[in-house]
Amino acid sequence: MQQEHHENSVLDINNLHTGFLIDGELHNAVVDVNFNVNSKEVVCVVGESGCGKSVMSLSVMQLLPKANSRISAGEVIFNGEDLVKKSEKEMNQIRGKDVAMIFQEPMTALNPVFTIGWQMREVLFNHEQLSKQEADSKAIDLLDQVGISRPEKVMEEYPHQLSGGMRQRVMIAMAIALNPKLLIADEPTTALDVTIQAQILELLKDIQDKVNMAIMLITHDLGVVAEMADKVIVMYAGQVVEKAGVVELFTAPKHPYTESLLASIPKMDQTTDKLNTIEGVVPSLENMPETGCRFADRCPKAFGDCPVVTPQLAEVANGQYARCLLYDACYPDLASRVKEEEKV
Amino acid sequence: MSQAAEEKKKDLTQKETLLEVNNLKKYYPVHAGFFRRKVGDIKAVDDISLKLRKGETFGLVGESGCGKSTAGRTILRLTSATDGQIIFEGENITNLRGAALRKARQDYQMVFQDPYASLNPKMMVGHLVDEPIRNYSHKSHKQLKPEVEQLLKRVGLREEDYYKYPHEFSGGQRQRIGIARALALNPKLVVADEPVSALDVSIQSQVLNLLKELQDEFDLTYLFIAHDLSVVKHMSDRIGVMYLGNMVEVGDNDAIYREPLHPYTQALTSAIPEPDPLNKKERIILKGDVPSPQNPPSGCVFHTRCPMAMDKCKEIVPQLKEVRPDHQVACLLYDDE
Repeated sequence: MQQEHHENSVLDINNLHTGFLIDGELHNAVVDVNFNVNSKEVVCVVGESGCGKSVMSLSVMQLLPKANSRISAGEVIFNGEDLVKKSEKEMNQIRGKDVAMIFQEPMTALNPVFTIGWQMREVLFNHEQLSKQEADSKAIDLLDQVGISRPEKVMEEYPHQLSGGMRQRVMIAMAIALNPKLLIADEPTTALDVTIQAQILELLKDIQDKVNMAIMLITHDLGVVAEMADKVIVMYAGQVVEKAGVVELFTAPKHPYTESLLASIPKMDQTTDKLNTIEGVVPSLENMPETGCRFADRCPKAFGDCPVVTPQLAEVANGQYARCLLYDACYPDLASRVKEEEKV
Repeated sequence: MSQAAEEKKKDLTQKETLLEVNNLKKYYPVHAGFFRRKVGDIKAVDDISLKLRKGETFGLVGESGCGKSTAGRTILRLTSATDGQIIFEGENITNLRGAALRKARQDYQMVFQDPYASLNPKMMVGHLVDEPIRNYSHKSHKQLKPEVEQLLKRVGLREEDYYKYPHEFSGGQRQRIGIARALALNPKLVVADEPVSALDVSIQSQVLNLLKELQDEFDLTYLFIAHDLSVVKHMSDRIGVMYLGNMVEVGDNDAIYREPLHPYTQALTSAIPEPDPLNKKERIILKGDVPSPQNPPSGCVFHTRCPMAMDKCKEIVPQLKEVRPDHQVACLLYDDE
């Protein structure tokens, strides 16, 4: 497994808490998220709907509505600077240029009333001094790079004239236009068919090799994770429950949630009669348990301490982190406990 | 294959046919111009045939726009077929109308994809579930209540849920309500159109397990439609692969996965990202997008994207034929066999 090299880290998320105001009360949707993305690395954030993975990525980009959400604690260090402290104007300089983002539904991310060419030029004009001709030739070059076969024609077309896969290619072309250091991809292939998904994943890998950027890929599909990731962050109910290299995560998952999740997927090469299930549902934001493990009531391995003691994320195997009381390291008051035991 | 699965397979081949679909076609007319003249057809389903034996699950798989949902809806007579025959328990239901169709429909029900859109938000769960029964009898809600509660319990909900409304439930629970509705009339055939694609994996596995249990308990026959090949393979005894309105391959679930014959099936199975980072398989990446069904390519509809296309593929329309026992494929590569 790759050791964490903080010196070539592109993005450091430290102790991030993001909350929403519901009836005047702040409820945290993202709690104590810590991880980093190294340069040229693909970090996959995986979890089920409502686990906070998208909120986390929007917090990084400072794209959450200011009216009803707050980053209540923590920092997001990009390029040595804390993005949380940046003003809207400063963020506009960073978004699209140093950190780019692509979204799940490329139809809603593109403006339906402007041509692809217009939207490509807009990205370039915002950050660079170019003439229209220069911008056009650069845009055509970019569309060519993402595998669009007739870029000149696509420049004059509107988003509705393109297929889902083509639109996602256009989004990727825009995202890489200014050689970002980090690309955040939020479920980029969820709306696409498998054969098109395979094309887009292949393209992302190629592009990453060419332009040397880091990718933070957010997905719910463990198949995509196995395909793309170097490092995996598993989220549940707003918390990181496991953090590991991709091979370790799939071969020796440490957290019971990761284990059950892996066992719930029907495998192509096996014939099983019954799939593993995780009983119950994710607790809603307002009903999140105050103390104890958030997975306790659905966990097949839960025991007495689980609903009471809040576990912390700790290293449980070489380079593999988990948040589960099955591992002694995760007890919050470990140091004092050890001392007490010594006394006894 | 486990021994139990082997036995089940043997068992199935001896069972009688429940549903037979012959050369089913569903075209939607396209109108254009000032006079809205008919200028062509969208060939959503173009000549498919299949047979379902009692108690089996037939999986229909394909990408969006391949006509798998249209096929399911046409078989249930939710839209009328342009051409072809649908024979249910020996009776031709293709052209049934009015009271006769209504009566026949008791025997085949549907589970829909979107558990948010398919339940009336203003109806309480109990009334949602007894609605199909009340369509065919004059019983009151009160008379049906014990039956409905029994059904709710069977699909994994609670008796108290009778008085709740759909918005109080999560996606997985709503899908359970949808399943209870489909089972209320004790149907013989259930068409499940992408029943789990809106659900998370942990919930998906709950619903898939439930569907399997109910099949054994009520002796149901499923037509299981989904785009996710691993889900279809888990659920089905036999699988049909569709592309652009055509059935390109039909076979045992194991055969389709282990020895896919059609180049499209091969690409489809290879494109699925599997949750195993150590097993990076050789991918067949298809070029381009699915062509429009309004203007499908000549000859084999897949030839524009097929990595093994030959010259004759542009001209000759391949027919589905048996090239291995119980394994049919529509591809000119197997013409000589």
